Amino acid sequence: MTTTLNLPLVRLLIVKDWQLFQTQLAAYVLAGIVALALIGTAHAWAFYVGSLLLIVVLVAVAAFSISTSLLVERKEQTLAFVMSLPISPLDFTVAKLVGNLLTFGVPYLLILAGAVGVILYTPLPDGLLVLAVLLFGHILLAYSLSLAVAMQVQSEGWNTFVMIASMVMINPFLMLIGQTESIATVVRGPDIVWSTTALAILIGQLLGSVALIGFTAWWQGRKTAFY
Amino acid sequence: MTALSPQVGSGEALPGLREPAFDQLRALAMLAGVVFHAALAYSPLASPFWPTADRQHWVGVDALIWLPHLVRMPLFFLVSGYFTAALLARRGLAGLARQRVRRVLVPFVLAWPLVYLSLSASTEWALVHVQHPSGFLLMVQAWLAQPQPPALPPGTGHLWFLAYLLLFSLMVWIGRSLEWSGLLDRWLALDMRAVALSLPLLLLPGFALTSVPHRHRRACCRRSGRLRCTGRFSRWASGCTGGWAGSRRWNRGCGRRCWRACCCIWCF
Repeated sequence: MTTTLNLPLVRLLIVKDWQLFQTQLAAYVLAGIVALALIGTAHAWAFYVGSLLLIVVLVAVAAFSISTSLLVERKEQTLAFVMSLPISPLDFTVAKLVGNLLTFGVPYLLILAGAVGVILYTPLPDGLLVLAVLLFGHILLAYSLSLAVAMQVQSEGWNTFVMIASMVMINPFLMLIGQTESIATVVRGPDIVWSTTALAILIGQLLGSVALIGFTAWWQGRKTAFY
Repeated sequence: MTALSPQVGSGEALPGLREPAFDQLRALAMLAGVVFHAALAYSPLASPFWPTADRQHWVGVDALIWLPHLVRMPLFFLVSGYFTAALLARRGLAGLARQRVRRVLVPFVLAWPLVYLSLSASTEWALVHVQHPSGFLLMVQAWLAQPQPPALPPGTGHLWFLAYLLLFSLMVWIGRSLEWSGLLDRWLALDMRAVALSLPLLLLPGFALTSVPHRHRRACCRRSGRLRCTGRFSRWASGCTGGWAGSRRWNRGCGRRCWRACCCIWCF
């Protein structure tokens, strides 16, 4: 087995994933823009509807990326076709990992940038930014966990369970940070206050995500066979 | 638009995306921008909010500068849309994305802090050194004189249009991916008068989401008050809807309603 990546083919596989899912990703981004437009009006009913829609869109983006490019492909046994291509297991792992991160990362970052812009440039209190970033951090962590499990575990049942469980945890998470005084008290304020607790949670989310993705890449990279 | 489409579609009329006529048009619009911003200092309309407003005003300045200004910015976006369509036809979405990142996103991110800092620094300098401060500077002085002055709101300054260009590029990607072009083609295939008159419908979401300070006697809430506060909206909406629905069998009555509605929206 060679350790050199077949970069042109890896690139083609990534582009294939992107092109296959582009329509749905564009629809998610559009739904995210609609949600942010509703939030940006700074009226109570629109804010609640927009927030709910935004969370639904983020969860859907995270789940869509993993379920279509990993679980569905596995179920449809496309690996047999991939094995006919001149690529190594490492190439395939890199292509799947990067493709997944791309199809999730582009809508995620676009909606994150939009959310930051909406909070800072509309009458919404700027203190809301902390809560919003922590929410996005949780989605990133849940996505990383689901992706790591999807790449390691073949069982569809376990994958579905982890995906749903990690995303459903968003409710307790929101309740938890809503109860945390150093975060909850500044949400409605005009200033962006990063308390030690908020920073610790954010750093934990980022480090956890990087560790999960890094471990998955390292573990999968050691495989010498597709199965 | 119909005249431009064949050129964009073939891509032969746009070698290297360089067109002297459009370059000259953009240069003219930019020069008009220089004149506009310099003349604002003497505009009675801009006096309350323009930082460099002079003590001397002349109403003739307003008469001269505002009409070209109304045309100037839409013209920039129109020209940008033309070149975006050409770029899409030649290089596709990936090429457009690369070009937008290189020529819009990176300059925006790099120049934003510089613009923000230079505007803040020049305003602070003006607060100290200008002998006859404008209304805007007086407001900032009063603002900063508070015991705990609030922080300056973030803004994109003069680079606002770059942010909008990025947003429009994103919408191009969404539209292409969701294949809205078929919908657009069907819309453009309608009677051109109906197409032109139904354009104001694009304003509907904006009106619906904008509040007005006073509740109208016929409005159920402030939001719909924006829609109904003058009564013109109702006439415009009925005219446009009628025009759109009846565009396949254009009739004189419908046309009259639409023209009347179009006049209303312009007055509105």
